[in-house]
Amino acid sequence: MLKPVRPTRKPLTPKPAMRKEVEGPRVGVFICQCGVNIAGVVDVPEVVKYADSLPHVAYCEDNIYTCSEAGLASIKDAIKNHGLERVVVASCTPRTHEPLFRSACQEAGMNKYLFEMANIREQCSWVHSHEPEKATVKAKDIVRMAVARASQLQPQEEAEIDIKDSSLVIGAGIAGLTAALSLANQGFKVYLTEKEPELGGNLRRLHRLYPTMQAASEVLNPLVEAAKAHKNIRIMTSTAITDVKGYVGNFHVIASKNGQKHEFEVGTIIVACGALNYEPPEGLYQYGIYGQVVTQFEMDQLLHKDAIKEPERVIMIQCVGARKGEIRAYELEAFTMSDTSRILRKILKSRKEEGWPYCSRICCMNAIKNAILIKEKSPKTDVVILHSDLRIYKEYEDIYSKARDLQVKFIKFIEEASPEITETQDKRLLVSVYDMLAGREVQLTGDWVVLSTPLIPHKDSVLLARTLKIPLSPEGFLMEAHLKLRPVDTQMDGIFLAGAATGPKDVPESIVSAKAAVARAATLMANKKMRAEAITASVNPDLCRGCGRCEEVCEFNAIELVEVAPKVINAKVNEISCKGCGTCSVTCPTGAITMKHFTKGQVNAMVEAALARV
Amino acid sequence: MSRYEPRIVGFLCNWCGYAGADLAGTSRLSYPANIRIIRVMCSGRVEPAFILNAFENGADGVLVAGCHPGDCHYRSGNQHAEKRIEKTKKLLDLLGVGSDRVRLEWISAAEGEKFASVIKDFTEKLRVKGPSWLGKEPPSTRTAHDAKESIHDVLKRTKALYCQECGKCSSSCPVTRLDPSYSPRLAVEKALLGLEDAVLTDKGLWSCLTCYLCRQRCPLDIEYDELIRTCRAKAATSGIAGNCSHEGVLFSLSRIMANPEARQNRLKWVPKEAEIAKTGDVLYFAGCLPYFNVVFDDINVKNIEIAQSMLKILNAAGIRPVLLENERCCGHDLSFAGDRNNFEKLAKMNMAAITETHVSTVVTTCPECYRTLKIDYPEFLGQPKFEVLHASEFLTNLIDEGKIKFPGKLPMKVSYQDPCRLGRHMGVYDSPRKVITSIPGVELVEMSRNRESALCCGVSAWMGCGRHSKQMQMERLAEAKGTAADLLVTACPKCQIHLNCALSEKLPVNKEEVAIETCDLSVLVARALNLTQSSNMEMNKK
Repeated sequence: MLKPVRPTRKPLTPKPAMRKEVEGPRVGVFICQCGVNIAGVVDVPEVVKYADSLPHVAYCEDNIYTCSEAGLASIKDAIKNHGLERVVVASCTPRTHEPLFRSACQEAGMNKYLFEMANIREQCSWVHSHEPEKATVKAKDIVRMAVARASQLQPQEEAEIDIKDSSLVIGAGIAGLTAALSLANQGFKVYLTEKEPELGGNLRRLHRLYPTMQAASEVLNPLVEAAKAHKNIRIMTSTAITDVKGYVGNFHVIASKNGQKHEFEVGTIIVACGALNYEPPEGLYQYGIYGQVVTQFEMDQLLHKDAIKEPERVIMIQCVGARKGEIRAYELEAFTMSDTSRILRKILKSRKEEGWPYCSRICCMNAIKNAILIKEKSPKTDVVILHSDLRIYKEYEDIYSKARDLQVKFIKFIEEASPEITETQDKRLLVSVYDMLAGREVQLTGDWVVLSTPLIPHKDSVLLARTLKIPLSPEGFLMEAHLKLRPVDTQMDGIFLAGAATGPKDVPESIVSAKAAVARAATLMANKKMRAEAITASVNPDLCRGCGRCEEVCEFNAIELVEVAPKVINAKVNEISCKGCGTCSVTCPTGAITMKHFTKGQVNAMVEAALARV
Repeated sequence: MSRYEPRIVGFLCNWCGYAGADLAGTSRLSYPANIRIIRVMCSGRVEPAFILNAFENGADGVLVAGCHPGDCHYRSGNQHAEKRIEKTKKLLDLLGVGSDRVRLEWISAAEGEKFASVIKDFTEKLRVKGPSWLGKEPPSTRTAHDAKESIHDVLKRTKALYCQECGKCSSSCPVTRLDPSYSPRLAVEKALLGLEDAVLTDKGLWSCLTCYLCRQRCPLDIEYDELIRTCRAKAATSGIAGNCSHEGVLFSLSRIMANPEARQNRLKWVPKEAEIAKTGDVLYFAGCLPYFNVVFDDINVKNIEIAQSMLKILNAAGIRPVLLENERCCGHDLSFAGDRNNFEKLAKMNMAAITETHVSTVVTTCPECYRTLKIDYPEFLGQPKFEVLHASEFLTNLIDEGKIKFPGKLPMKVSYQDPCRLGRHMGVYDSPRKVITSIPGVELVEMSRNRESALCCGVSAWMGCGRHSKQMQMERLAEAKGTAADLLVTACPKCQIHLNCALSEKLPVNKEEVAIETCDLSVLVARALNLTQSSNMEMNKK
């Protein structure tokens, strides 16, 4: 089936050889096919032809992957051979590859602010794949808008920022401790803050870790000792971060330790504020009503205290309060067996279950870990894990096999017919569950019911995210800048994420992410300097009335009024503090403020190009 | 038959809105292909002028998407965006474009689904609503129609050909006094030497206040302001534009009104109990007051009070004035900013609309509308059948004829700011003074520079507002304060706006030196006639 189409490929438009004369700045346009991502929907050759007809366009070509070595080389060649003064790449979102293309332009001798991207993938081919003609028209419009803007762009110079060689690590769980030690060992000064009175986070309350079954304290204690002893780490427990001002390389942190205010300066911040174990609401699977219904977290503590004394049966229920609203792989109506559907309809209840919409990754392995521990200590105990799916990844398949070897039982049920718990006459628990594979209801009497609940974001983490201006993911965890390309960065330069703060993780995953965050932070601090984006405000002193409105609205204290002549005050911009948001320029009544790289002229050119009738 | 496809322009903030749209793409969601997205760093960057520009160019809808409140990447940019868009919506309602064509949404970087559903919903709603009437015509060129007059002909017409270089213009010019690099004499000389390019590209071309002070003093009566106005029109044809304040919003409004399809909602300010008519003897031309009322709601000036007061006075005098439902901007500012093309469109439509009512008198509270209707319209449309009077002249007549009588005393000292357009342009100095002094108890104290020597309020036609305008305003207000008057009476909504704007800002001098309440002539009269309870006299108490 694939053979006949395999050698075929969307052909590239032949590259122009002759230098074309145009009016105004010479704009080069590079349309990316992105394999089939764009070319599969948008008629790329037509867009190339169209772009070539636009004013100022001196050169136009298409590439299979403009971000490839070949594509970048092509851009550099075209700049040199065709004297390009502006470059437009029509491909993916600037939020992925703008820096890459900008450096390519810079290498070819063009100021990187003369580069513009046209998003014809995320905002065109990927969302209009059912309407290829409309997608092609839209792609042409987008290219026209980008060319209009590009022809108005001006070269900019970036200011240089000094980066302090100290770091703040928020949270002293496994991720925070790993990060702090790693940074300290590299010679950076670290402020390690922890909101609890003790270091260690969730690990302090865990018994053993999978897959090695080693004690959590075995992993944690050496790190805590090392952190306390390290001369580069200043530990602040019972400390919350109240505010962070400043910018990358120069963060001014205000912390509160037992009500007392502490202020200090750091160059980078690593947020390792972790996650909380979800406690089910009272009544869910009789949690809070019967004392023998516990969470896995509580079971860890019971095992640690050696409080589990050879019970007859332990039943574990997976996905409690997790995967609520997740798309199910099957529908109720798919069942044709009348008996099954009759029983299912009977036990189907529309319970308003509180829950979180995601899979918490670690609970399956965690349940198996505790099942193994119980079995190894008390082989006669029957351990049954009730699940709707088992998600065991990587080499953890081995502990699943081990659990099966130990005769741990697994029963699959479906979400709509979840287990029910009642108390027996002799105060034991009776669990009724519909076994999907066996096709019948099963009654189990047990001594313990263990609920596997997800890791959820902590309310304090959400507030911290607000303070640091880090956005939240739909699940409520701190969101990384880009899932694949920048997994430990945040949108705020100089602030990085580690550990379960971004989503459920086990210990090895937390350690790895912490080290990744350290690598990012250390790179920044080791370079000692960084260039600021040149998107800043600038004031025309003749047009400035000294009205003070800009000063009032600036959140970064980047613009202030100074006396420039007797009885004449003018606004003055601090280029380093200016974040380029543009609020001041809109507030300015006379139009004295220009936003570099996002000027009125450039935006209006795009508006007019967007609506031009062609 | 092709279906109408709404054309939507979207301003999405880099951190949330744009990222949310990207996520919709990454998630391969589908939505209609009607939107064209412009990335800005923050929703707070979106100027009302961008939105109006989009509509001027034929957009059917505009979407602005920013971070959720509290989550703005720049802390409060989105809060400012919200206020600005509220204002823009009011303007769009007044214009008859419809505030539901603008949508402000909070879409976070994680809300790809929300983005897709917003686009679907907005596109459908716009499809049902139908196309924007602004889209029927291609946008009028902002530039003038061909200013075919050669520089030589302009110099002849304005008598600048006879300039004897005495320099009285430059020494009188209030702009030159503050900015020595600006010189009317030099500009005329350059024009005479045939240095057309130098004249048209000089930024000083846009500094002139067209206040007529030079013309007043010139021994040869050279029409310098007319030279400036024509040169601006010529510059505009070459794509040269001066700097307009308020992001050119006021010009956008006028240009939108110049579209023949415009059906405004501009009579909402008329109180229910007011008496107006569709035909009659007198027409009240309110001008852009309903729009100023929205744009300038933050400088302590309730412009619409001027219109409301005038209407009350007319009713009290037994007059039921005609109010045009589709009264358009008179075009004065566009004309003085170089956009002759749109000025002429407005002129023709206004002239036709007024003539249709068969009124014998048109009265206006704005000296710029007054000058434009009385002098500029007839210049190319011929003498109309109606007489044009400024409110001060009309009120003088009403007082003389005994149609309005002041019931009591209003004991206060007031000073009076002669508007350039009313005073020097049209020679009306006595009528406003007559009205003021007719009010029992009111004592008029003149500023040292009054009548023909009055100082301009610092800005003309929204052009070139800046450092020097502020200095002029400080000077003029200090002068007013120096008379020890309780109140500064203005007879021009623009004078009031510009002077109050200066007072609402950070001051380079002590407040006591310049802070004085301002009040429009018609508002003062209405108050004196006990027709209004509050006025901006109370509000201006600082």
